[in-house]
Amino acid sequence: MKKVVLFGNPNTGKSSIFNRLTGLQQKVGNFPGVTIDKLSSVITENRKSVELIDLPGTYSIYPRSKDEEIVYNIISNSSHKDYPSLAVVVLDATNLERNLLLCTQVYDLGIPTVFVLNMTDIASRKKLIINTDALQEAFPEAEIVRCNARIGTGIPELKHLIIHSSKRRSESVTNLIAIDDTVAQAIDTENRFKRIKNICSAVVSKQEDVASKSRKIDRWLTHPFFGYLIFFLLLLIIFQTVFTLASYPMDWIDVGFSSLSKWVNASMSPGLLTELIADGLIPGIGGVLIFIPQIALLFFMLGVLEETGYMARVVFIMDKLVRPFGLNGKSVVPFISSAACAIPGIMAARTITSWKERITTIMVSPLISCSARIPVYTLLISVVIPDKTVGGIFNLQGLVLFGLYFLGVFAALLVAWVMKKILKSKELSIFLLEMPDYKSPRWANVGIEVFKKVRVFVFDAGKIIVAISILLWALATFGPGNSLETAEQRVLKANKTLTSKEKEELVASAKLEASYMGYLGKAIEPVIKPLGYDWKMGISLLTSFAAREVFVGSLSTIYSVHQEDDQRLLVDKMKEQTTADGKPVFNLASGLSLLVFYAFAMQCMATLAIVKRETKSWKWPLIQLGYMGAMAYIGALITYQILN
Amino acid sequence: MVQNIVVGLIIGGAAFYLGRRFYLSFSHKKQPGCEKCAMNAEKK
Repeated sequence: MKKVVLFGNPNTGKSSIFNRLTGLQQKVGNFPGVTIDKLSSVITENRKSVELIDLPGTYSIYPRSKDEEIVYNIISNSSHKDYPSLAVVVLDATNLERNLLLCTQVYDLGIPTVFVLNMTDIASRKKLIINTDALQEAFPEAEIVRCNARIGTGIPELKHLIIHSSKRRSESVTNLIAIDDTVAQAIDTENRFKRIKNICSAVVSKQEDVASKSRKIDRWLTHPFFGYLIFFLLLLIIFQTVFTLASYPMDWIDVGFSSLSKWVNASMSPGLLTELIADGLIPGIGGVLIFIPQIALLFFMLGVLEETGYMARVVFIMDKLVRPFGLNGKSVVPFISSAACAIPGIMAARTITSWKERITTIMVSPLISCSARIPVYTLLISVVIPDKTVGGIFNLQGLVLFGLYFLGVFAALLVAWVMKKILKSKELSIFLLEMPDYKSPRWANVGIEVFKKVRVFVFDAGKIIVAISILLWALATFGPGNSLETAEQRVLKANKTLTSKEKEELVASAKLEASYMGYLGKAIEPVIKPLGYDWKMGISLLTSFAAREVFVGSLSTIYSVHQEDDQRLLVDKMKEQTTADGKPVFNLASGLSLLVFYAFAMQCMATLAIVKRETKSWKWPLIQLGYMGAMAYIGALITYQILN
Repeated sequence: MVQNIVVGLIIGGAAFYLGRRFYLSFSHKKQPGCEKCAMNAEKK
């Protein structure tokens, strides 16, 4: 099948064009470096098909980073399986001079080429006039199409051209691939820019010189003082909103699942299956679904900021802030991605050219609080932090959530600084960033991203949580020999004067302690006791090793087993848990200790696997697991011992 | 009796699912599953 490859500088809208042509929903964003790997799809018209391949953005075919190497490897080898029969180069019409470097390189390789002039609407707004005839004159063999991927104009023409183009490979003008030392590449690039300057003077003209709206906004958003202040306030507003707005739908979901559990218990015939569904499965699933409102709200707001182009400004202002810690602005993109999930964050570190900065970014990215920590944070905050207003406007619970995110960032910078002192490298740290213009958000894109994140949270994380809930239920329901019956008899014999409700609670607690889970929990209790945790919390910590969010589902299952008639909300059950001497299990000291533990601990199997893949070694994921585990334990220990 | 068999199968299925997922993540026979970001779903 004919291979058609999309080339272009970062943030020229390649992925948007790819999505328009294929009907897929590949992630797009208004900042450079969103696509970091090769993606492909088959497109068909009039029963003729071609394979369309989207590559990471690159400014030149001479590679400087891992993601640019993907492009170079394909284009430098005509026997490569993805070597293009047709190259589609996407150009940002607002910045032709910079974009034409890659164009001239691809064109000179002799591959049939289509130039796509994208973002023509923004060029018009900037009063730029693009003379397509002059461009055609400079590249006589190329086809030129005007496009606006945002609204889809020019896409049918482009699709037709891609599928039905019959141009064949011509002789390459220069042997670019043979230029393999950096000095020769620099000389070649310089010569090309001289040629491009001449082309641009004929192709681009400006109606009038007006300071763009984006530059005016940037005066504030990238200001050395107000830039940071505005970013800080925006984050504060986001976390406040996540906590206050999401609480209503969360309560409805919680009440709904409690009623469902009660209904199942009442309507199904008594037996093991009923117990498994009512006390194992339903609390486990409810524990996942309850966090949909918070996750959706957080990603909606982050998505809007990303779409407008504000995140590129964040990257820019953060460059200065992260440099003393051995990082550069490019590390901020992985950090922002890690706020959703460390996996795309770690993969996004491929754009970092310096080995030292890349490995440091990979090692510290999981410390940035990801969406999987939200369920743990919000549940524990709801239990141990009072719901009151501070300073007249701020919700205390929202402020603590905000603080936990900052704790993650602070820890990441601290570890990066330590790594800067340990790792030795003489590589130069270069940070180039193209500032995209501000755009109004495409609500469909924001909606699709929110939907995708919620869908994957529910179906992928959900499957693990449900499977662990089932196993936990089994461990809590069965015990060695007839230990559960013996425990029940012992409690009933010793507490004859109590009411039936009190007896029921004692029996439930004794049975849980006599189960396999009780034995396992008691075995690990000495290790976690100094942190202020009881064995039930220890079981939840253990089960959440694979994925953090399992903690909530585990607690939900543990506090439901053996308590058929207890339909209180999980938060209320946790608040009422007491130790043998009557003190609350979840108090400020143990709650904050747990929050600190989860802020630092690795607790994510998928992240370890991706670090192993990206670093091609077990060394780095094992170091990461070790240092994060040590930080979590020591941090939690100090927090508990001080507050207790 | 039937309930017990069904429960046994469900527990066995859950244990198998978790074991397989752990194996696939580290053997790299499959892209490590990302629970939150839909990276896999996007890849073709």
